[in-house]
Amino acid sequence: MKSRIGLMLLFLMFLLVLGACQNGGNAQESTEQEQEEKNYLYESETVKVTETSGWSKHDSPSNDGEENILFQNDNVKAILTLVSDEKSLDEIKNELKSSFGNTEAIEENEKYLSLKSNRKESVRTDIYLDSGDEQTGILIFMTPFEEYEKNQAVIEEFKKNVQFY
Amino acid sequence: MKKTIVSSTLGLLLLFAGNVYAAEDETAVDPNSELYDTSRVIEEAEYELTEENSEKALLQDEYADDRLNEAEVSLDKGDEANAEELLEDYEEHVKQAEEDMEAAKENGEDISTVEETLVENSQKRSENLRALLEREDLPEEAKAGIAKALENQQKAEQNYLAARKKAEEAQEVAQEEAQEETQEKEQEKAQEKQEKAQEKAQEKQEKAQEKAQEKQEKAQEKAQAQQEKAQEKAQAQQEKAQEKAQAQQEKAQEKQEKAQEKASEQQGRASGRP
Repeated sequence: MKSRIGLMLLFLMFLLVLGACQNGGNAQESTEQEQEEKNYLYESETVKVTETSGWSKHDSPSNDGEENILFQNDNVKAILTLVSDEKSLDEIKNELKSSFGNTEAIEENEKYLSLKSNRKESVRTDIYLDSGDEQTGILIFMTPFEEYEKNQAVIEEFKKNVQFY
Repeated sequence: MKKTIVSSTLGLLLLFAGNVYAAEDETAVDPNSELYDTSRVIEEAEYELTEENSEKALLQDEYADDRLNEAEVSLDKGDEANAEELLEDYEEHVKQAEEDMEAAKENGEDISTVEETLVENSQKRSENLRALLEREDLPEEAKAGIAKALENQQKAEQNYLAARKKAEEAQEVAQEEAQEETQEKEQEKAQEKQEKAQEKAQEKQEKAQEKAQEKQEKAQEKAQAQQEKAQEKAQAQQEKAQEKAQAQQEKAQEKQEKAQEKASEQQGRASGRP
């Protein structure tokens, strides 16, 4: 009789262990699923932009293919692009500077450049460079100069959600 | 030694001047660059972030300049197809600048200085296009594109000039109207001033009249009072004189009566004598 009870207890414990293992497996699966289901504003082999509150992807009329991706959050615009690593970071910065016409540099370091256009309605531009193995990722933010401080947090949040691979 | 210093300084100056020129000239991205499309997206973003229509027109004018420079670069490189595309884009920028100026006018923005800039830049670009047309190394297709761009550029220039003339005329009319208004206001003001002065004078006159009347009344009252006083005095004197006359009369009567009494007494005495 005692051995029967012992066997039954052992069987019950075995069932409990099995159940626990199954639950653990489910939890692991759901975490993986969550990662897979993470929403992206934009994703390609080389760059992923996680969905960020207030931001949306816009189609630019002159946007040829996937070279330049345009995002917008109210009065802040972000341009995401990738160029081959044939150009040095300095060359990229100089070329971008010249595309802005009459501007003055506010701050510059190896991978960052901020500009202010010398116009009645000034625009502040922040350019972030990310040099990879084969390509250089360029993230450009543009906002009216007067609204830059107000929009700084919005820019930072979006910047965190851009991942170059 | 001096010669060496002078020549090396001149050399450095020339080198420096050359770099500055190069930097100023370098305002557009090479159309064949990997970053060219990005520069165009940047333009669009800048344009969309600009609110004032006159500022938008200036931006479109700048972009037109850039497209023309880029078309020239493409022609120099023998890329006629790209040059044609760029000239088409150029025309679109010129057209958009015109539309933005129209919108600026409708919104009542101050466009006088912007219009001047646009006319100047437009004339410069027309010169550049004419120079391009005179180039012999260009194929007929490219020349046709340039001629079309020049035609549109001149149309835009004429439109700007016509708009400027219209604006000047409107300004003159507005100035005349303002002058007339000012004159009318001044006249009204003068009239009001005159009326006020008249009112004031009338008030003063009325006050003086009132004062004179008061004075006259006071004088009359005083004269009356004096007359009354004199009358009273005369009456009192008359009464006194009457009283005195009466007293004298009574006294005379008494005296008469006494004299009569005395006379009758004497008569009585005289009749009592034998």
